[in-house]
Amino acid sequence: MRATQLAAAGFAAGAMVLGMAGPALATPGDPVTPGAPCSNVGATAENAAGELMKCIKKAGEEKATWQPAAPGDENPTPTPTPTTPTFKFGYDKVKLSTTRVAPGQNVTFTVTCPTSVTVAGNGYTKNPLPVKKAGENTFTAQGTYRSNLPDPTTVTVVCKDFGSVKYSTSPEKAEGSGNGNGNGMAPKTPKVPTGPINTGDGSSLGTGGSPMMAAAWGVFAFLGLGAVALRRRTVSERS
Amino acid sequence: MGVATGALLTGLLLSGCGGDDGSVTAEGTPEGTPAATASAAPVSAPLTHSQPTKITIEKLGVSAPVSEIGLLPNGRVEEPPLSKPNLVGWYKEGVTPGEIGPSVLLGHVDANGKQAVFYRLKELKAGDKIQVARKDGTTATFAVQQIQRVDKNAFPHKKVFAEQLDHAALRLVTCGGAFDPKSGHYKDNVIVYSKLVKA
Repeated sequence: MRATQLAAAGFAAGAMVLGMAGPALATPGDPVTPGAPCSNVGATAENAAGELMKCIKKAGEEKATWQPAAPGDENPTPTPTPTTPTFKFGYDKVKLSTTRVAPGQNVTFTVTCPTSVTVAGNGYTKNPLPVKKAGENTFTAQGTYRSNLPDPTTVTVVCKDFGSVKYSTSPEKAEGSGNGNGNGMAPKTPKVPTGPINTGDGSSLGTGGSPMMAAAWGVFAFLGLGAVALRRRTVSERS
Repeated sequence: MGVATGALLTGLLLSGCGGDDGSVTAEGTPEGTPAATASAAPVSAPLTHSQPTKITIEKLGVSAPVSEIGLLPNGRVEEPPLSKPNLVGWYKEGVTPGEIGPSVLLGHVDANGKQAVFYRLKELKAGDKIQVARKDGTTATFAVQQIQRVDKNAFPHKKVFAEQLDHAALRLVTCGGAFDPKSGHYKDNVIVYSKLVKA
């Protein structure tokens, strides 16, 4: 027992001696000794006096050692990458000078878009409307409604790579139905259905997916059983 | 003899129709991983509003009339009648094929005891062409971008029916995956995404 304790103490002492003689392993927070060898070239740490030291391997020297760091050797604090908010195109990025739709009426579209803009509709004297760049990320397009206006009158504003918005004189009605209100341009957002879409009845699978298939199965079963019964009857008559 | 005939007929019935048996299909996985994605094909200038009248998919031998479908009072999309397996429905609450935005056409995979108009839809690959004739006499040609199979209960309604696009797109929707005899419906949907390449 005593021998074991002595051996352990000796091992610990030996390890301490070896550790002091070995290269300075700059563990975070521990002060380093100037001139002491180091292994992680380029690493920085502070000495006991709080001065910044750097692990440097000088030309002609075999091992790197802790040397006073030069100004600017501090580990740079990582600066967060500036994140620009993602642009999202929508009705809030389009301004109409007027929503009135009438023959001869002028309208100006002011569009915020980081790429390019097209404005096209079915009721203008020119189509698509000529677009001008009015500033950084801002475009304008001017149009005049023609004398014979379709019902509904529609216009689509496209921001390249970011989407489009559509306006119509009858946003609540399906186009071409002739139910446009004829004088007011309003956003036309598509109605999104919900629920499952059932476009098949399984009748091509032969697994009884439809009443017709069930009936077919019934007919086949009837024919098969009938044939069996007929065969048994014939055999019994022969015997 | 009768037994043999019955067995033969049964065998033919089970195997001859070539339904979706759960084997590897062209459309990918039910999770919605696109099976094929097209390289950037040139996008054609969009068309103005005009209702679709006919769809042609040469590769699949599809040539079918197109009628309007709308929204039901419960918020679900109307489906073409099962009594007309070759009829395709255009969702009239969206844009017409060729206009900027996603236009949606629905067709049955099978109906009324027959393979229906979109039975082979899952065979489409990126780049395959879809042509839609319109009331104004123009024909809009679309190129398949990707094909996706999704769980019917996780159908991406907003993406399919109302995605914000800067170009004209067409989406074809039908059923796929395994058939659930209890509900009488397929478990998945097959969605073909395409964009206008010629008008």
